[in-house]
Amino acid sequence: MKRENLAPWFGFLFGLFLACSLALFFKESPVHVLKIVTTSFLNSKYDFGLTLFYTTCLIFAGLSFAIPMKAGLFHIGSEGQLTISATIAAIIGVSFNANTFTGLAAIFIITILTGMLSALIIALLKFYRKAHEVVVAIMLNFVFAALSTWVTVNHFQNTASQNPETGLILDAYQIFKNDPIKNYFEQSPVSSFFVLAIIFCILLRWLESKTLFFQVIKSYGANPAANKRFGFSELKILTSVMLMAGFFSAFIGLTEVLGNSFQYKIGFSPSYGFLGIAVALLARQNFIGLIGSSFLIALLHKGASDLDLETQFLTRDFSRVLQALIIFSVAASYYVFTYRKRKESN
Amino acid sequence: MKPIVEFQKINKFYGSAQACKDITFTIQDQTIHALVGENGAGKSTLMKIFAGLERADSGQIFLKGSAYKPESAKDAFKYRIGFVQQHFLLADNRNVIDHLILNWPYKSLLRPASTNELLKKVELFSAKFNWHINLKTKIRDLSVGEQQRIEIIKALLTDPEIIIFDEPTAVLAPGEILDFLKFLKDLKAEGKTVILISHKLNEIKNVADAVTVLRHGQSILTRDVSEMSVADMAESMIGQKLGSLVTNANIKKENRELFKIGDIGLIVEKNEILGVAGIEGHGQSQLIEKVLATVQKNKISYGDIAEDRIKFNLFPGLNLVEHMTLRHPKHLTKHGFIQQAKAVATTRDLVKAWDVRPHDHLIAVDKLSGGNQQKFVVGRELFHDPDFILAAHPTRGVDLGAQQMIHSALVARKDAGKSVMLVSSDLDEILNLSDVFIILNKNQIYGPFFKKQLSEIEIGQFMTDSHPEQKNFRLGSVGTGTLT
Amino acid sequence: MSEMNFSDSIFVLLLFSTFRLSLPLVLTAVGGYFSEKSGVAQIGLEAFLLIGAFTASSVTYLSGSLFYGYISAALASLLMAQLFCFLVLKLRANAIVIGTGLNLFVIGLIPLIGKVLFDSTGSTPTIPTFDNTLIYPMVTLVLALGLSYYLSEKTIWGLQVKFAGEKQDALSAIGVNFDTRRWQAVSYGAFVTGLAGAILSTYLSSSYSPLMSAGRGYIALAAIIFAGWDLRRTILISLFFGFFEALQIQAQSNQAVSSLIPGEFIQMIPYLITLLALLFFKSKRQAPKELK
Repeated sequence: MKRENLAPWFGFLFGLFLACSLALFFKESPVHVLKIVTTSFLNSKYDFGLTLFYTTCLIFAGLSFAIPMKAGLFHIGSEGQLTISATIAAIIGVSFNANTFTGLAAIFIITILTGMLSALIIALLKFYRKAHEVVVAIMLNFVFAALSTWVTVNHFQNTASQNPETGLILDAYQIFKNDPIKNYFEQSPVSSFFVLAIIFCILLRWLESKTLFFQVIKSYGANPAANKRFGFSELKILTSVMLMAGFFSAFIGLTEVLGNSFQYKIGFSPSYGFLGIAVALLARQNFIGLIGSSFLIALLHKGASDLDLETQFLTRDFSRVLQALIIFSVAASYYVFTYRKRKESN
Repeated sequence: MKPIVEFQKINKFYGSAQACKDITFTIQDQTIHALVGENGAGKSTLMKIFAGLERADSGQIFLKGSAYKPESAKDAFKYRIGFVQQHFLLADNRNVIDHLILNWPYKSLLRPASTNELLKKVELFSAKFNWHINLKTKIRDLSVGEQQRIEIIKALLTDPEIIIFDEPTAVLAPGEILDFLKFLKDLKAEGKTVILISHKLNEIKNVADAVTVLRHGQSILTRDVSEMSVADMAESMIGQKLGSLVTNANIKKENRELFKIGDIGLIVEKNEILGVAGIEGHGQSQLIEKVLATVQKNKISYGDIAEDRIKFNLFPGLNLVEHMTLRHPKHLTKHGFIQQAKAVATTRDLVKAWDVRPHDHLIAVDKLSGGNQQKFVVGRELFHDPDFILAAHPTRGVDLGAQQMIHSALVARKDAGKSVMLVSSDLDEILNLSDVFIILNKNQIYGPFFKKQLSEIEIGQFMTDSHPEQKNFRLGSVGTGTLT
Repeated sequence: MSEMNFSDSIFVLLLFSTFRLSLPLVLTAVGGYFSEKSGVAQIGLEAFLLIGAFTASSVTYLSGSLFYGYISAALASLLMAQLFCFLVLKLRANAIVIGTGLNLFVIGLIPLIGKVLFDSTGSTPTIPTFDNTLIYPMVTLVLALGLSYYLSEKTIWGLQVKFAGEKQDALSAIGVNFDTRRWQAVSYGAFVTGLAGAILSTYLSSSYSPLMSAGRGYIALAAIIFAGWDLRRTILISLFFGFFEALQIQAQSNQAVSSLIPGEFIQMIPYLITLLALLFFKSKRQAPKELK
């Protein structure tokens, strides 16, 4: 492993250290906070399962960010894509009456298509109108959030609930309730989607090392003008990375609706889309590394949500502070590392 | 004569590489002092140190006898040193007057600029040099020559005593170059000292009073120009005698068309090197684009030594093997999967054959020096023995040894019956290598001309749209793209 | 409201509320403009806006002075900008990553401070109405807009900031550190955006409530881009977007309209317009060349 590749992990530790030190300002012991944040996922099988559920979603979010990043695209549209995907999954699950196989096939296919098409907009606007992907993604995130809220509240609202959410999907489609993984972890939110996420990572890593296609993507990220001069199609590259990104965003929606809550709840995502950035940066876009970094961020997220109960002043909001500080120090770590190296060489 | 600048044992390191090694020489007041050397000899670095843009690691500079240690470009301003850099420091989206205000002394950052005196001065320059420039024009709408004038005015605004020019004639046509050299003499006559960096030794012979030769970061000698011939200068630049390039003088047996660009009427023939002369930015990119499109459409195998290797030929961070698989997927991949062993073996052979240093096929391409990058690019583009080779500025930024290697390879391709299109702003390169050539001016193509058909003066006239028979030789247009 | 002058009052209300609601948006966009113009991509405007809003209402409540509220809001935002600049300009981290992180940071930090100060992770306590509630936003608006325009369009500093965004080496060549100009531009922008936050929580509302910026930071960014990084157009387009916000609020409070067009759709309008603009108009105005 190259030394630079270690930089983000040191950044991670530094961010964690910083965040826990911050606890002093809130009259809490940093050691106590660190202990809760890092060990609460071990409290029970259920807690561990919950952490793996977050890990699943973060792996998908990380992939959704990391793949476009390889082509040099800064993709922050995952949040909107997963929102609209989850909404569609729930709507079909509630309203499409068919047998288990047909229904699930419909949910999978249409949800994935939704995710991919919503991501495709970013690629097309970038290619044809030279619009910056970050700007388009921000706009789309808002549009999709508003759309899904409107559809949910006005047309598919769960009448039995005060919260803005759809009804439960049909029983026939709730097959992940009897999922062996879910059963093992005492009916916690984790499901077979976790295994799927791992398989995707391994598959991608393998394809990346073996195929010309991923090398073309990487070369586009390194130098778009030269890539074009070599005769590769910019449109093909942009659309394929964004379609893949949308594909994985859609899987967050599926993981939630088919594997966890069996409905769409507005605001179910603790901004997975943005956490995906932290996850991918931490792993430096390495597909296998993503599994590890997702688990780390997941366990911290799980741990921080227990702060409500375990401390007097710190609340689950601390999770965001923690994540932000990790993003800061990971993003800065590369420079700090290479700076030290530069100094030594002089 | 009295000395105005003295460099004493200037040293500068970039990491472990040493750009300047004990550089020591003296510049006399009110002279034109040339600085010559190969790329990477330390000329630009030394001038950046002098102008306060870089700091020397050790050594001293004396300005009119007293120590001068610039901390930033502000100090250079104070000591009345102007610097016209090789790469223009102009913002495309801003207009001319903004650039002049930016370089005009101001009293307070938080107050508007006082432009009265500035405008007077600009008017004075315009009259003196007969330059007409609309101050409201955006930089992106100016030609390269006009942009250079803005750079010069910027440097003259603060009334400098010493003015540095870094490769000023690279972007000018032969006719314009003469005007520019006269302009330098005018500056000298006004009592200014000019430091001129150039690799065009003929110009130096023509205009400079003294010359300092730098080689591998060291100052080799400083002499009066009258004491040295152009050949002497070249010899001391590279430290050895120049071998001559062996070209097989036209062993062309039959003229055969490889392909033709219909709308221009340009025919590319086998067994021929077709030169493309012209000032940079007069349609080269558009021509290259057209040629490549035609070649791709006709499915002719081609090598592409691009006009800007960093921009079009290399992927920073990717290693040499990856560059090979990306460029030659037909040979090195199967059903979209990379044949790793074959790719590695091929790259290793290429690195050896072209002596790309260090001999490491897994090194990231951006870790190579410019010369070695270019050797790798040329080797890579010739690897599949293509029928057509585009060679745009193939020896730019390459030391003389590698230059000869690349030139020989191009000639060898030609002799093997292939076509080469050589695009270069270096007229000597075109005239030495090509069998026929065309000239570009303002997106128009003139020619084709045979090797000795035109004198250099005439070529210069074609480049500046001033040849009496210009119209009769017009071949076609490469399109209406902007001159950049 | 009587049936008689229904349409009149709707119109007047709409005009007035457009103006009211545009206040924070215009100032946020102007703040973001300085950062973007200097070549620093700014998606952390939400953070500056929120920390400003929270600080203004907290300090006003605790000190009883609206003046201290405004000043501390601007200073708190300025402080955040120092963190941002340190990471982006000193440690060379990606501005978009740090902007995203800053938004997360502030959203997480505010409830924690709220819990310590007011034992509530949600809203701050309601501040009393002052006689001069209206004066402050007006004075702020006039001063901030006037000063911003003067700085950007008239002064040498403004010119140098623009060159930092367009061609940084041109600044180095005259001995000016372009990162210093960027640092100053981002800081000034954050200062103004902090004031926008103060208006949000003390004028448009009487307390801070969670996420009360409601995406204004992003709309402001859209306005800057839509305006082609031009200050005057940025202000005009912010007003235009403010109009849709006013329309939406009017529509929601009006049964007849809200049954016809759902509020979510009107809420979407600024974003949709920006997307459509990107789709249909290819702007001749270019982004600052050094923007990253």
